[in-house]
Amino acid sequence: MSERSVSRLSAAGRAGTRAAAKAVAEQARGQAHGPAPGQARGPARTAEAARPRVRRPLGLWRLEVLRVTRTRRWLLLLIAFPLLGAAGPLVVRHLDRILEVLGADGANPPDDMGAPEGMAAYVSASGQIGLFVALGIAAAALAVDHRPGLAAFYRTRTRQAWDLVVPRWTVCAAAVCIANTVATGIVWAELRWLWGPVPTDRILYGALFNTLYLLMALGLVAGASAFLRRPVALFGAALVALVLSPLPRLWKPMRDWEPSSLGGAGVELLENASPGEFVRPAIVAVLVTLTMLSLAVWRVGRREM
Amino acid sequence: MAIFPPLPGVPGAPAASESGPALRTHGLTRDYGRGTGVFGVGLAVPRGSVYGLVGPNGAGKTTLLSLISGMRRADAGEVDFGVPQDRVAVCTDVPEFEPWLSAAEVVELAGRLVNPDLRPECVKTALHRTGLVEAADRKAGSFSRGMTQRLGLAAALVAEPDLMILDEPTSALDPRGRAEVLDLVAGMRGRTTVVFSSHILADVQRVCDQVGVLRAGRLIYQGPVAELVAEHMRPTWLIRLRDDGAALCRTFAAEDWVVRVSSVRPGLVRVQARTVDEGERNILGVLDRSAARVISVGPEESDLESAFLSITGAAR
Repeated sequence: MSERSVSRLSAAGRAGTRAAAKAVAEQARGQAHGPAPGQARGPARTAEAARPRVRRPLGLWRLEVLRVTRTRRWLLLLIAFPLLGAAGPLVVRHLDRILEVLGADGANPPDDMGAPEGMAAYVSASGQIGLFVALGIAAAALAVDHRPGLAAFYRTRTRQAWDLVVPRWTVCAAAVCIANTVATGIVWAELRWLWGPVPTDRILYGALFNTLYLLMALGLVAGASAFLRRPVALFGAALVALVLSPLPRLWKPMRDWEPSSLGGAGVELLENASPGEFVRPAIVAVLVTLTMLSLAVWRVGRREM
Repeated sequence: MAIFPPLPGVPGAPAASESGPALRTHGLTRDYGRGTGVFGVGLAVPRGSVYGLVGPNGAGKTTLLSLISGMRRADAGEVDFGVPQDRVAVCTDVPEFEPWLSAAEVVELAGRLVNPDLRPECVKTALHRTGLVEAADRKAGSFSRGMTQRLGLAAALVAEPDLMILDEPTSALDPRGRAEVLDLVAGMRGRTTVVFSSHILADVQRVCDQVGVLRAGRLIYQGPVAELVAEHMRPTWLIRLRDDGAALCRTFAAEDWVVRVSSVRPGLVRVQARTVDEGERNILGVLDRSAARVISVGPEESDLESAFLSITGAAR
């Protein structure tokens, strides 16, 4: 800090808030009136440049948007969903040529690969890399009490635990959903281009069910944040829960309700499954998501730092 | 200010009274076991005062402030705010912020979380008061610890709170920064009630008018700083002389109210009386009767540190 600023601070400290405000206002006025006499004047500002930039107020929701944009987390989502997703159908369509270029003699790709296989390539990429990225981003955002100083900053200023959990989860979920939707749109265009028309309603249903599965995965991260503090722990706990989630299928009555089938709905819908088959898992996914979120809000509110 | 976890005995936002203490605790207890924690603490922080909370390491200062600010839950006792709870600001000893926000954004966010209608001028004023105007657009992640501490103060100041709880606000600052922050805190007296914990007793004596002394989780003294210092003033005087003072030492040694007399160095005599009263009544009479050439007479400096050491039972 310069000598000038130190003396300004001391003066302001002695005289109190009003004097400080006046000093700031005078400084702002000085800037508004342009350079001091004797100083070089810069190039004339256009009307557009002179117009003050309107900045939206910074609240919890905008903070979360900035968390996604400023920390480049959007870039990870872009790579994990649209970019890797777009590559999937192209690889499937030209697998024979790729194998030929790579010199993989003896490997014969099946001849009857079509739109379902193209969709399967996307679902496979988003179901692994995309899911990992989504869980990581959510875990980093929802580790509310990981850093004590930061937790104190938020906890002493917010009125309810809802404010700590819901904006973080919602903005993160919105970013993942947008990435998944954009990627599905790109894959749909590719499927049409590579293999001809595909049923639009099946694509839309597939995107919807896949989104519900991703939301459930993010809900599990929120649920983990109710009991754990470190981002790595949140990520790991949610991942373990997702890996174990198909276990209820072993019990026949649960088979039709088990939500992990939603992740592959996009492929099965392009084959011979009907959307109605995924309604019950979708209901379970929504209920799990809401339950986990409620648990997170309840526990984070009751937890001490 | 947070209302979760719920403060003991505070069902919702309390009605703020215009008179009475800005903050009062009744029998506040949090037992961590093995004698650590705070036990039956009854603070009374007068409105508009700067209240210093002092105590040795591990005395429970941070725990007490955490209980008051709602970051920890008490096992027993109550916290009564004499100000609206949304007019209470807290600055922790190690503040942390989102590293990708600029200083101005951190302060704006802190203000808007408390008051959604915060005026932009308040952000500028808070940054100006803490000497961060020139760093307003710098990312918080690039700040030094001292600057981060200033930013914590700016974030607490921005909503112009009625009660500020500052946990070791000068611990990371250099001497100049410390002086500036202490000036800032002292300047709040009368307008904002400040509860200020510190292990630097000189800082507390400089800016606080009230002090609470914690030892092993218990409040062992509470009251005006000046009173504490006066109560624990030692009945000792220093006398500066033209000659070496040997004769004067013998004269004082013959007095029955003198406990001890010693020559600190040639020309400087220390006299310790049985009581302050006896010393004040008799010391000038003895000097008058002696033939000593006296340059000055004065009580040996008494400060908060000596008072603190006296009541906490530590040796100087």
